[in-house]
Amino acid sequence: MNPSTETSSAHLAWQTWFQENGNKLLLFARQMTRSAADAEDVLQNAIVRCWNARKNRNGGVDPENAPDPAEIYTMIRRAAIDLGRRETRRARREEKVIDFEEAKGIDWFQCPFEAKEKSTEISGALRKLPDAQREVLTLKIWSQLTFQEIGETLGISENTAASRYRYALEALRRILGKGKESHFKNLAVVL
Amino acid sequence: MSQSNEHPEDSLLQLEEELRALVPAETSAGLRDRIFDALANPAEETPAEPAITPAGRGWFGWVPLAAAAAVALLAVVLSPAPKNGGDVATAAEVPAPAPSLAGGDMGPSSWKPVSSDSRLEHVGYDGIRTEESATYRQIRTRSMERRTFIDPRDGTVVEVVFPRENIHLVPVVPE
Repeated sequence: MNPSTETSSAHLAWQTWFQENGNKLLLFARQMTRSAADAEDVLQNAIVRCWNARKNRNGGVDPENAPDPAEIYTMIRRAAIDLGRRETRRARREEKVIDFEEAKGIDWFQCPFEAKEKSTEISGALRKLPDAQREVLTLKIWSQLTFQEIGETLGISENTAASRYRYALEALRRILGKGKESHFKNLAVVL
Repeated sequence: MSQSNEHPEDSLLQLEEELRALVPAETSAGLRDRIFDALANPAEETPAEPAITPAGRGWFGWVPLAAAAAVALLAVVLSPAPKNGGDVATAAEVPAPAPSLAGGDMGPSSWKPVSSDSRLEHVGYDGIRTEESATYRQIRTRSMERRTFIDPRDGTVVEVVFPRENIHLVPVVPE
């Protein structure tokens, strides 16, 4: 296959792949960045890096070779870390952005109107989790990675990934069970 | 939903169910377009071939040639005319020897520096480089340095441009 035909086919294949995975990739990026705009930049950067890493000598990309989960999430994480380092001077301003998002009840999920309050409540609770727990939870629940894949992505052992997931759920249950008006009071544990 | 849960495991399973029921927000069409435009026109991002660009490849490979050409051009334009023959007026107008600009040195002529400006044009993450002893992140920077000189006797201005590309290796420290 000549490189341009190969690349066109790869474009189509990657668009399909992005259609299927873009939402959860963006959700993961949002866990690691301070604003929606940063998350989009990080995601774009990660995908372009994966694409470039697949270019063959002729500049073509094999259409069959879409990113595997551990690879793309690792790329997103690295891109977010790089962005965080570059943007430290903007940190104060960006903190205001995340505060603004939280205050406005901007959540990370699509939901029918009647479930909006629940969704917003969960988004807010997720923001309160430690970063290490939140990223494991996100990868497990919404990206549906195995603990082994999560371990590869985050550079931790499978057991550590499983423990962090458990801690994250418990912490989330505590946070959600606390609020007087919480929709999740039933999750509070009677000891 | 109003009764407290007496079994911790049950409530965690219930919480998992609640979380799984949430669907991540859609990506915008704008983001999709941006990403696939970037793939179609890979100008700025990480190049396919990692590591340091070898001399002779890409625009960086032209830097030594461009610098040499600039020096050669200056030498031709600014060097004194031959004493025998040639245009005497021209020789008088340009009496100073060519400044040694390539080394960043003004040399003995009357050329005076007017301005020096260095602009960082690109900073990009360039992948991971693994050596035997350590792993590094590669950060590639491109900058353009412009130096302007003037000959106060006749007002001739020369601008010399130095494109630079540097690779910075930042050690990766394991967590």
